[in-house]
Amino acid sequence: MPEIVIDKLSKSFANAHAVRDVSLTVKAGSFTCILGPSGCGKTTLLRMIAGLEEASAGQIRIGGRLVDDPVQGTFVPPEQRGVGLVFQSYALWPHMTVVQNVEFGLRLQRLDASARRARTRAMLDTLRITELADRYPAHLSGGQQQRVALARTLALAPQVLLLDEPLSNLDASLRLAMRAELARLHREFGTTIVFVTHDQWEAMTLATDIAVLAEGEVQQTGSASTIYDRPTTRFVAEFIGSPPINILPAGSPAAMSLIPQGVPERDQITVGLRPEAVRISDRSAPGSLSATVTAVLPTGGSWIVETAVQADGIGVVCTTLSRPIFVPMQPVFLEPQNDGMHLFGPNGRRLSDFPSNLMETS
Amino acid sequence: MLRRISTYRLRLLQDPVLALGLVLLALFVWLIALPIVMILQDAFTSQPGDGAKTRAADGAMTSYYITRALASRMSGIIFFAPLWNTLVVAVSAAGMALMIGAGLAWMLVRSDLPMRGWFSVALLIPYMLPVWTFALAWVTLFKNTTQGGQPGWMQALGAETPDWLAYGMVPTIIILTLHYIPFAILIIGGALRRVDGQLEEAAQMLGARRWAILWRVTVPVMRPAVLSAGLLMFADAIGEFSVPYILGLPVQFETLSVSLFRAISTQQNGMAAVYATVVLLIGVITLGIDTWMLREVHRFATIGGKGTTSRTSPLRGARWLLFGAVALLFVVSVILPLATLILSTLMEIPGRFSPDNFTLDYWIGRSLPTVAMTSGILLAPEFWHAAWNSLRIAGMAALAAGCLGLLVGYVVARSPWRWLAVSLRGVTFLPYLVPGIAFAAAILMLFAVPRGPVPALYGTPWILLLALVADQMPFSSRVGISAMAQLGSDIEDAARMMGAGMLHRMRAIILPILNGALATAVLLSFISGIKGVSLFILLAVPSTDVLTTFSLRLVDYGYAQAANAVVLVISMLALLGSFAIHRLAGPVFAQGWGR
Ligand SMILES: Nc1ncnc2c1ncn2[C@@H]1O[C@H](COP(=O)(O)OP(=O)(O)O)[C@@H](O)[C@H]1O
Ligand SMILES: [Mg+2]
Repeated sequence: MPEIVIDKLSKSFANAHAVRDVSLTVKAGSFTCILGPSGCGKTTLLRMIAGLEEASAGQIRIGGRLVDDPVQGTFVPPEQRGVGLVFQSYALWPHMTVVQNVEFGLRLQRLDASARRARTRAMLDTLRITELADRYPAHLSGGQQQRVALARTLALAPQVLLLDEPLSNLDASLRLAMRAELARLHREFGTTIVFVTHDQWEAMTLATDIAVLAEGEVQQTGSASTIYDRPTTRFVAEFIGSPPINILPAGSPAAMSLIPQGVPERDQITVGLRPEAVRISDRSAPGSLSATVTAVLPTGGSWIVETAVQADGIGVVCTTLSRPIFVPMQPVFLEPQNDGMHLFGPNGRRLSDFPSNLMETS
Repeated sequence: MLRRISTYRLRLLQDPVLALGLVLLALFVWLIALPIVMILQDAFTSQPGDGAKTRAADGAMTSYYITRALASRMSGIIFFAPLWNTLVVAVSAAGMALMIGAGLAWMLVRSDLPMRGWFSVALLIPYMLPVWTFALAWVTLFKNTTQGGQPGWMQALGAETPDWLAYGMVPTIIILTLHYIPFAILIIGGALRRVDGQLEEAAQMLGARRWAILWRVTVPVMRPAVLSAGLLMFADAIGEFSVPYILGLPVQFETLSVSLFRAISTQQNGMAAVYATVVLLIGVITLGIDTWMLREVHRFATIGGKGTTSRTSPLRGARWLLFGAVALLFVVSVILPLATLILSTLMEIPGRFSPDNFTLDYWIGRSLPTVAMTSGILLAPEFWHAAWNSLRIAGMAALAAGCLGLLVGYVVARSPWRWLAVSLRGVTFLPYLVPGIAFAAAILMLFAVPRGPVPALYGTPWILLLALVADQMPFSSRVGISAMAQLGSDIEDAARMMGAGMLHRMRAIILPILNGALATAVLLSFISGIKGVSLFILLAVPSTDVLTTFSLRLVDYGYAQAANAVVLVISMLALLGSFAIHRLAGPVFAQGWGR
């Protein structure tokens, strides 16, 4: 169960910087997620850890061993890193049956035939695909293909398992099942797992640790709740959360009315409001914003109420668990709760906690 | 700096793709780029033995050859007449094939012509046959007393044919037109199939009439494909050797490729280099225009549409008339030439249709009353020798080209150095720009004498093999590149993660997945090697004859029946191969139109 330490890692292709100066520590035995929008360099980062791509600068250490450092000229090839990678496309070999796919790596390790068969059998059982053993990948569903890809990788007992968007090709019900499966495998094998995804739901529900990546740079690391409750940048705040956080632009009347007097450079501060942290009421309260309901949308278990702030027409979306009593065009008052309110400076960085503290004490 | 070099070395050692790519690049520069550069150079350097004329030392710069071709008393005869002939033949054949082919393509794809499914395969047959099959059939039918030897059928039946019909430009144009029509059908029909029928329906909804739709919507959308087909046929016709060679001699009709051949056979290497350079230039310019236009095609993105609901237009009253015309074309371009050739090999005296005149002697006879070739073709050791040469040279070259093409595709897809991918693509595409006979001349000049560790290869089968491999590279590397691009890299990286080395990945992953594409490419190369002649005619000597050059040699010696029999065998092999591919990979004739 090695730890992975990534230090100032960069990768540039001919025309693009895919990964910039990423430093990240993946704790031994953790289930870490690298989360970011598509094209932000997640796959590139994963491939560098796997050894399929050489870094342009920086270092990677796996379990204390330096595996990639262009300055020293160190590069450990993928098969010597003790790392397994499950590709986003699964990359099953179409001309081999499920068994042959799983056996391939074991053959390369020159395992004798009986040990190989036993190991293959065990992997198929673990992933519950025994009955698919003799099928070709073309005749498997997406979920089954993924299990085969996992079995193929886990058969070699890698100490680190890398997964590229493991759930994104599956439909909703399969995603739930696979999610449980991955969690079980993590418990059972105790491997260090790193997976990348653009899907916050996947990240929040699976990972013990999350690193948010944007344009090749790490924005924030931490647990799911840390990242949601205390986003360090406006990007993180906006990227995570559904429906997304409401942004009151710096200098707008709505933002100004929420930032206490006396805070320096008030008109430079952007306010983010989590939708579930905005209470709607038909009565005015201190610090509330008057607004007009524009739409009420049921989403199954909860409701979304869309409003427009009266002062400047900025849209604010609220979610409630109980059926709202409001109708479109109705004037209402929005009461932001302090724990769902985040302030960002002009550089997009989170301001220290003092504004909300200030508001609590005032 | 030191560090840079050491990481360079490190990458070469760790990444066999780079080593492989550099080896391939060196191979193709030697085999393809070097000969072409050398022939261009030869046009401007004094050739051995020419010192008196060029007034320059061997190997020194001279403008003698160019001047002689372009601005001497002889220019008209030795250069401008062949150039004119070449251009007229190429323009007329490409233009007529284009017009007839476009009409046929429309009828096959968009009308209710009877039996159009059958015709869309049957009308392609002329393209699978070696083109000079038709020339031999033509000579058999129309030969007159201008050329000695046995009479043509028309003459035997009492009709003396005029020279302009029997030889020279007119029959050359007709034959090349018949040969290219299938190609035009393939390209234009393919484009027509992909034109989104909804475009036309949209015009119809706006109230456009049928002819207006055809003229204002369909034709403009098709224009890039049609022009491109025309240019490709033109470029191919420029380098065509066999037909003008067979039909031109009696009336001193020469095209540039024939002049090139004659210059080489009379040891005028300098003049040969000039002809080759001109042919090459025309080819490069034409294909340059084509590439430039293909870029334009992207403006017509709808051509790539799904081709939904292509409507068929009723031909109404003209239906059976047009059916008759198409059937006639089939008879003229397939049945007539093949039947003529078959009959010609079965008749003692040409054109006499009496029962006692029929014989199998030309196939299996013994002690015939001729000077050479005293036994029937099937009993002649020369025939089997040539057949064996054809099979092994075309077979080995096709295998080698197919595998090299796959390797090129591999390096292009995987090389971490872009310049390596780009230059490999470029150099393997080069022979496409160079007509076969000019390329053969270039190869000949490179390998006629020993160079470095490579001995003189002229007179050995190796020179044919190397030339054929190089000539097939544009096609096979395209196949390799597109197959590898479709394969993607994950499949291979997955094996790499498990420690499979490059050779193991090739053997266990890439080859098994791509074996279908590889087999098709090899088979297509093989057919084109079996029926190709312009590439070999300069390179083969009697002991290394392949079927095609053997047959032409028989024509030269006046053994028409034997030559026809050999060409029939070649045709049969080519047809069998084409149908094998048809079964193997569906209708892929479209891919097989290399030279
Ligand atoms: N082999 C490559 N060559 C050039 N650019 C690449 C290559 N691989 C990735 N990129 C570029 O790097 C950026 C990040 O890509 P990737 O890591 O695949 O993103 P993600 O997985 O987050 O969607 C993209 O802009 C992509 O175009
Ligand atoms: Mg990705």
